[in-house]
Amino acid sequence: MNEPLRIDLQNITKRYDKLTAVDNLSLALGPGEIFGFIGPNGAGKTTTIKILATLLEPTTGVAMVDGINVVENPNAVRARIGYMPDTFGVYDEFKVWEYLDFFAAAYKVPKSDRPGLIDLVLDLTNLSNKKDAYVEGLSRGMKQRLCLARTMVHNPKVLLLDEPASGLDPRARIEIRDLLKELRNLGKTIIVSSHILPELADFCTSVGIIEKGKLLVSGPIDSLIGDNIGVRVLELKVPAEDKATASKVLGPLKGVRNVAERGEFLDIQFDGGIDAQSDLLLALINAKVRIICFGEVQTDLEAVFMNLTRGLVA
Amino acid sequence: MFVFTILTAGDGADFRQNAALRVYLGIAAAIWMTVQTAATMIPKEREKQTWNAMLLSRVSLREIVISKSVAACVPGLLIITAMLPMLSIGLFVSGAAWHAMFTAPALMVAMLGIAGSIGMLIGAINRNSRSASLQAALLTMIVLGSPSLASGYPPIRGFTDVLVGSGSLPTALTYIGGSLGFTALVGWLAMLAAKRGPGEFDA
Repeated sequence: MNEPLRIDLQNITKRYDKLTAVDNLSLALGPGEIFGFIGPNGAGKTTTIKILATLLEPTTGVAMVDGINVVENPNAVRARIGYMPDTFGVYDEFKVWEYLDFFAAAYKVPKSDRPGLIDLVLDLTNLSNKKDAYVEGLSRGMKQRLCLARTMVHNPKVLLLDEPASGLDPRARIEIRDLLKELRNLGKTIIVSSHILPELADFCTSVGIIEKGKLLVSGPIDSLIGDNIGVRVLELKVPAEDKATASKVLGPLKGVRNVAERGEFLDIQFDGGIDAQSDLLLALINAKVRIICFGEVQTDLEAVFMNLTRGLVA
Repeated sequence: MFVFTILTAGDGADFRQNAALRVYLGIAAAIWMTVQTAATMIPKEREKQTWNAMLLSRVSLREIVISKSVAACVPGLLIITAMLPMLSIGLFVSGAAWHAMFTAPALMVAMLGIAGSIGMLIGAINRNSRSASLQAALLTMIVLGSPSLASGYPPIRGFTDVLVGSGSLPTALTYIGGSLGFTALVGWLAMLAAKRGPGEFDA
């Protein structure tokens, strides 16, 4: 039997009076997927995550987690999700293990299973050496990891992480990123929202860009870049005396929009396919242009984001 | 000593006539503390941003509201417990009916239940503990300081009769049962308010 989609949003809309926070958003994620939610502040990321977390009800549309409707059966959904909000609190007066034990008890984890589970999540979040420390004495990064440990204490299938790395120093961010990769390997489905796009690109299996409540695009990062950056830039390095010949050869070729000089390089704006790209090389070689270097300038997620969004909020 | 004095002052008739207001002082303190404690419990969780985490656990909202109400009643219960020996002596000296030894404390506890549930309701509809505390203080002052309490208004007089042991057993049981029922009703409203509150507030 096929496993149900871990996350299935169908035409979700959330309105507050005249404000539409989420507008007809659809999304489907399977097991082991990490979905990066990208968007400017106020775009609707947190609202969408809160709907999945059963903290908000959609105005229209259907939201399912592991095949269960979040509105009709929120308690069953809560057992399957771990939610880490962008701003969170902890009980400062507890020790780290007590804090996790408290939430494990709240999640009805059997008492005999709790010590092992707590050790496991502490190990995953690299907090084992702080097990007996008071929460109050932890640094912000450690508290963030503790919060993440808390979301995992009942072994949920789906993790909803709203800006998990916000406000952290670079080391702590890298640790969170490594942790998410580890969780991906454990088969968790993760939705993570972040403003730090290169980090998302590093570990997300797919991303979605949301603006003014609308999901503009979503899919694997490579296809997103390919589909949304119409013109790619190829860079060519040739000896200075061959530059003129190269420009002359490339100009009329199919897919070439423009050839411009940039220092030692020639930048070729190109909208052709991969075969046409190799034809460029062939034409240059036939024209006896001596090629030192030829390749595509990498377009990253930031470029796609900037290309698609206009900084609008809902 | 002060409480002892006010609870045991005078013999039977005096006690019944005057002790109502004197017992009232003790129970008023317990109610005040209970309402104040209960009213700030949910807003404090919201302020610390731990409320959503609690809601998303498998503990039901009913369990959360009931357990917080019970916890809020603890200071008041301590006051009542401290009053209990002196109240018993007072009732004994005044020649109150035997059942008053049980019904008076039971009604006090039931009144704490009302205070706890009202406090929870105030807390559930407030986003921060300061406003909840203020509203709780105002409400408690209005209710406890109301002239009707001292004027012998029959329903209120019934409470005080039970507390000082001059009410009949059926009357006492009626008031205890009624208080518990009212506690359940207000507690249910508090639960509804708490359920509605957090997600929408935090959006």
